Amino acid sequence: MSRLVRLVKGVGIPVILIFLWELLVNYNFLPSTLDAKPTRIILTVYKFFFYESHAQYNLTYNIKISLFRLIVGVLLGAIFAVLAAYLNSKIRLLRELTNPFLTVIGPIPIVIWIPIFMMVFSGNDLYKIALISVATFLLIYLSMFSSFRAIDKKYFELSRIYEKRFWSRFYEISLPHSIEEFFTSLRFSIAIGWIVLFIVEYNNAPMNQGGLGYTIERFRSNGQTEETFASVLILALLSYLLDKSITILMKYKTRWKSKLNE
Amino acid sequence: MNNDNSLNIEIKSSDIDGNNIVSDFDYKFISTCSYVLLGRNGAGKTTLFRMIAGLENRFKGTVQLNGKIIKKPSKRIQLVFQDNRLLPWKTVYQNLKFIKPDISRDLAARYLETLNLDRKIDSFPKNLSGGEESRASLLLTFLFPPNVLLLDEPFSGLDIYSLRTAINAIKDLKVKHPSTLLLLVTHNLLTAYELADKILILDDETLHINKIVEKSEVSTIKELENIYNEFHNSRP
Repeated sequence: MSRLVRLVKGVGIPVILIFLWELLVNYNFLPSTLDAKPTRIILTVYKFFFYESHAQYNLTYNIKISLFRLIVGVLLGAIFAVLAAYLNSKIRLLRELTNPFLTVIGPIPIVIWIPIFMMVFSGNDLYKIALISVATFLLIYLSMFSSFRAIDKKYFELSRIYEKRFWSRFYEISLPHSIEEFFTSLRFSIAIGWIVLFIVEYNNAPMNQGGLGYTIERFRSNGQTEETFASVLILALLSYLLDKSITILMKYKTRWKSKLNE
Repeated sequence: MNNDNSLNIEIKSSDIDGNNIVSDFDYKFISTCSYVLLGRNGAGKTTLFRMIAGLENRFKGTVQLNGKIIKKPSKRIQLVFQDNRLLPWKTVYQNLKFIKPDISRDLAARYLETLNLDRKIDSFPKNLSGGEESRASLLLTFLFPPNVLLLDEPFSGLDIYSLRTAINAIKDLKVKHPSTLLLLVTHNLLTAYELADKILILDDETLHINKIVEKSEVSTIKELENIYNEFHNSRP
């Protein structure tokens, strides 16, 4: 019962807002640029995937392109960030050489780098992946470096007694110890990755390089309000589902932190 | 054939963050005996064990195992720490696998059974009681019977039943591997009495060996307690 009450409380406000939106459109209280009923937006989402008439928009293809850019960018950034953080936490010389630089550029907002990356890659599609990688790298590096440095040395002493090697210490001690920080920074990276991806795809729509940002810009400029909202809804759902999957994985991988959770 | 292990410690002085915690410690331990080191908290016994295990090298002198100087930690000298050191992100079985990667689940269960832990094979350390965690930590050392086993107050906080189980497990280990040299730090006189052949009473300030009590000299725990109290009461 309490679960049902919680659910009703949780969805209450969004349902009221959607209902109001539907009424406002019905009675023509909204400008023509916002003239899209929620019910029709949901129907459009359905049409994108199951109606022949909407196949021309290639939405599945554009979703795949966006997801590919995001996942490859985040994966590359995450792998390099974790390795760099581990090496820097263990090798003093490397730390002294690279850490001050990384700590300074880390907090610079990633959008500032967009024009520079565009110039470096001459507008090549790769710059989108590179931007996401750099954003991910900086976020995960800073988080993992401080977490690796905070590991209690007693675990490493145990590993020294049992003659564990450098990389064994990495994946048996450092990484599992810092797995929560990893997933938390990964979630932030993906959120920022979506923002970066949307901005560059949206701005580069004239270059016809595909992606959800490109699709949304095309619908908007053609005055297809329902399709614009439907694409935004799909983007929001995708980012929610990706975040939810990572949260579930994080909960599983950090179950050792909870008591009586065998 | 003589398989006995000998540990020769000659520490002249140490400099741990400016403190000379262990100085003029000179003693040869042989695996034909088991040793208990008694001394007050903070005397430096843990530091001494860390030096023996190769985890601490800020001292002048040498620690030699069978004539060879110990320079770095290895499986030959294993230390069971005061604070339990199971990896919290691994289950008990995964912790055993961390130490011995090829251990099968069946074998792990058999090891765990000896310490009444078989039902905890898939538990994470956070879900073990203090006593269970201590016993599991002790078990790690049984996977590779070492040349020297250093036990640094491993039984603090154990109830009498768990304490008996742990003492029996160590006695079993010593029977199966008589060449393992056993050194134990404890404040628990029952443990000292049960496991020691020689009891070394250490100076609180410098960790000098002030008195050596042979097990044959005492016939009850009470007698051992009297010797220990008498010694400490005579100190300024």
